[in-house]
Amino acid sequence: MRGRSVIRGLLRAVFGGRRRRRKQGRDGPGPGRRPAALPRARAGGPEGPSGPGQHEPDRTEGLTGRAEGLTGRTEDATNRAERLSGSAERAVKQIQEAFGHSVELVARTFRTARGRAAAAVYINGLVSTPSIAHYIIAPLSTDRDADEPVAAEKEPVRTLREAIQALTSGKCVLLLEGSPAAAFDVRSWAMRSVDQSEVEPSETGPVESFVEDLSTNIVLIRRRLRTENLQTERIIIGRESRTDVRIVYLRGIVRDALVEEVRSRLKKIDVDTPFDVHFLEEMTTDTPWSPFPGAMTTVRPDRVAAMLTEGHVAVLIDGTPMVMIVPGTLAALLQAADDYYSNYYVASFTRVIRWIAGLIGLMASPLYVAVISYHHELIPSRLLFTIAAAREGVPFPPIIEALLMELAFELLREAGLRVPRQIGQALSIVGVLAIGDAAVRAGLVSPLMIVIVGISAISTFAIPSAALADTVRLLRFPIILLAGVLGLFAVTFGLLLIMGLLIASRSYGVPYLTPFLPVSSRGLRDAMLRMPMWLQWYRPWQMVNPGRRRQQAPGQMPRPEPEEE
Amino acid sequence: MPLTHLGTDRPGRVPYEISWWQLCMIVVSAHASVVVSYAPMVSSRIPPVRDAWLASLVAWVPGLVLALIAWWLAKRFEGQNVFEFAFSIFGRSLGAVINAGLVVYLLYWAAVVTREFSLFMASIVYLRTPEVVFSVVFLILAFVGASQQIEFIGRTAELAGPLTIGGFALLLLANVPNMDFGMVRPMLAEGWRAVAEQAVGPAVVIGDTAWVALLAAPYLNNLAHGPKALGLGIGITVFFLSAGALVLMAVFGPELLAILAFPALSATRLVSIGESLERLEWLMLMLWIGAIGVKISLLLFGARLGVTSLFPGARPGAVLLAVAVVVLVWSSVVLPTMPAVLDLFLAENLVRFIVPLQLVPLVFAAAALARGVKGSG
Repeated sequence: MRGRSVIRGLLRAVFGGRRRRRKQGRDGPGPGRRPAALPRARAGGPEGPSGPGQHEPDRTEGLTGRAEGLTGRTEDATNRAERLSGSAERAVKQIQEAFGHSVELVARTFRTARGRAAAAVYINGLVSTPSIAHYIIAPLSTDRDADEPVAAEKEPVRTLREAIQALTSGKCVLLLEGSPAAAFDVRSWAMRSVDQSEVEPSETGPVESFVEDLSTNIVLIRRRLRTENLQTERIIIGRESRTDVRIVYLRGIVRDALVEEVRSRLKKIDVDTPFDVHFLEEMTTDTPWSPFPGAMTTVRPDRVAAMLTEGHVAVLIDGTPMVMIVPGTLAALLQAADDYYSNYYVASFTRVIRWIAGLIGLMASPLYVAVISYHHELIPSRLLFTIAAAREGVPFPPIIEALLMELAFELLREAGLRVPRQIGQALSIVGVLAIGDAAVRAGLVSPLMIVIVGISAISTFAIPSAALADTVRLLRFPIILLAGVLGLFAVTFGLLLIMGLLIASRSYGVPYLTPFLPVSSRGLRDAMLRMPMWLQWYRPWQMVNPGRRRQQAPGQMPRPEPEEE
Repeated sequence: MPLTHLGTDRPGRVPYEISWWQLCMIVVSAHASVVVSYAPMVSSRIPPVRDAWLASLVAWVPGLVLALIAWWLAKRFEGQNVFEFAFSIFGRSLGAVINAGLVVYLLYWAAVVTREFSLFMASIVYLRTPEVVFSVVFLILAFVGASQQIEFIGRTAELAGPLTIGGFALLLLANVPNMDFGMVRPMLAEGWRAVAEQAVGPAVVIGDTAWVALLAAPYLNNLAHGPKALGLGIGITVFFLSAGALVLMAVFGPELLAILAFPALSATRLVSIGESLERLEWLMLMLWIGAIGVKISLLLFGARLGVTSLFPGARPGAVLLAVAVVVLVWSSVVLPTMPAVLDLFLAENLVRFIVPLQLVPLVFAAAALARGVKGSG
């Protein structure tokens, strides 16, 4: 059954788009006919405004009456939509029952100076208790004229769901007899400070990196884009986690259709917990079966700010420093933020090196296998003798040799990620020098194979996007198998299939190989080569509003001022 | 406006569109694959004339005319593919018969092309590998291409075309040291009749633009650019046919060319750059395989369009799979041996087998004019 479902999934990957397009006509429309709107990427869950991926401030409509969904959730969800009692004592009971009388939930009851019953409810560890005491309880208890606490931010709380959301967000819910409940922001929890990034180090540019706290991350972006057009929209995703997700974009620059698409895809997600942006990426991608990443991810605020000005949309999720940027194209995945912090010649050279590195990372081992196995005539004679001498005594055919060494490298790499840092360094040295050298001495592999595997490994590390580097490493294996079966012909076949996948892929409607295929002369100014800043007049046109394609005035090439006569 | 219209600011146009440059590259890819492998500019007459390069230069006229007729049809029946305007021109019954015939012809030609290239691969390198393995590989590539619609084929051609052009240009330049221009002199020593005979092969190759335009031109995002695309594609093909004929004649001479099965490949084997960069035929083959994929994709795409026009309820994916299987089976029985394939490129056989398909635009245009039928778009 599982095999059949896998086959069905693969077939759907080929035919699936056609199945959707059948609604327009069996072959899609003929040329010139207007199609129905193409469906968005599938995500679990029902469509419609009452889906679990709610868009704030839609709080009162919930899951009531949904027939589908997880067993036992409907009734439970209905209770959450009930209004909070006007009586402080009953409201406290409602909240305590909802939280299962959890010990972290604290309900501090007191009487106001006017004699009204009140309760300050909060979750211990998420709030600053001195702030609660000083700004909420104290003013009400002592000042007869005080109607409400002193607070910069106050949010009405009408339902149990809103109360739960506020409490889990680190707010204090104040229940006052005869008055509507309200939540006050008194968040204070331990969090990592803004530090430099370890996964995206910078040689010459800013070193700040995002952290796990969403508010801090938004601030880091706002410091770089001090414009009222920087929009943030909030979506709550996750039945259990109620995770705060933000869509960030520059109003007026980005196409409204793109923002709407991002919004609608995220709202359709129906899960217990979205762990990370990669989770969101998988749930909203245009090509769910493609091994290539469908979006960019970064931990650098400067990169996010730059992408936003180009018309991308950023998605931030509370609890992870990774930010997802859509649409993602192959060219963008091979760019690094440091490209803009160095001279354009250097940046262009570095980018070309990365593209070559990607190719080497994918093709080095397969080409070795193909040439050694089938196409000796391609090797110059002297090199051929050297290789033959080196391979003398190696008991395995080149394909086995290559697979063994690639697997060994992957094992070492994975082990190096899991062990403590102090041992990790030693492990890599042991792996490279000791095991590789021992394997050669034992005659298991040829020295050339070690060199090839080492070069392809280093090449994948030159790819800025970790997700893309992982994909390259993954795809290397089937290409090695093809090379071992039918030599360069099969390698070309595999490469063409990969190219076909890339050509057919889109990210939120934008072709994945933009600006190479389809060719966009404006986009090519900042694709493989980086033209000088004074020549980059335009934003990528697929994502921006037609009136905002120009991002700088032309003719800004630095020139000496003409001498006055 | 749906999201996938990003990049096309004109509402009402489908995403399945190609630019003029993509159409040009489709034309180049469709020609380049056979030019590089079987060199019809010198193989259509045995022995070839020394002025084969001149023959290629004069052979473009019929192909260009037929291609422009196909474009004119696409413009006249804007918004319809060839099978749809066949119904418009000939009516439902006769149109169905004609479409069925067109489908059969496209399948046949796809089988022939698949067989050509699979035999080519099996003959030059993989002597012990059954040709069916290569047929399957080519058809898988073509299946993937055709299943993704014309837009995908256009983008693949946009990648494969320049690579093939670059590879062929490298081959020509790298063979300059091996050329002996005495082999092509004196000019017109064998007369214009021999040149005309030699021109049949290139003319038929360029005439393939007719069915390429018939299938692909309706999907141009701006039909006004059709002549530009077709003209440039044919121009590039003519250049390579002519330059290729000149180089091959200068390197090998007519006697040797008469017995070489794959002269272009043999020329690649002579290339030696700096005494270390040798045996570039594999580079050429790798660059050329993408062009083959484009050609067969287009044929499968056309066949599938035709079948779904006859059976509107059929699922396109299933139809395409069936079409690919038919082509695979047919390619196993058509042109059973390599000599049969090589004979296909003789002038008389080329005219017999492929020219009928190339005349389809002419027939359609004549019928459309005679009946006064126009499209509604």
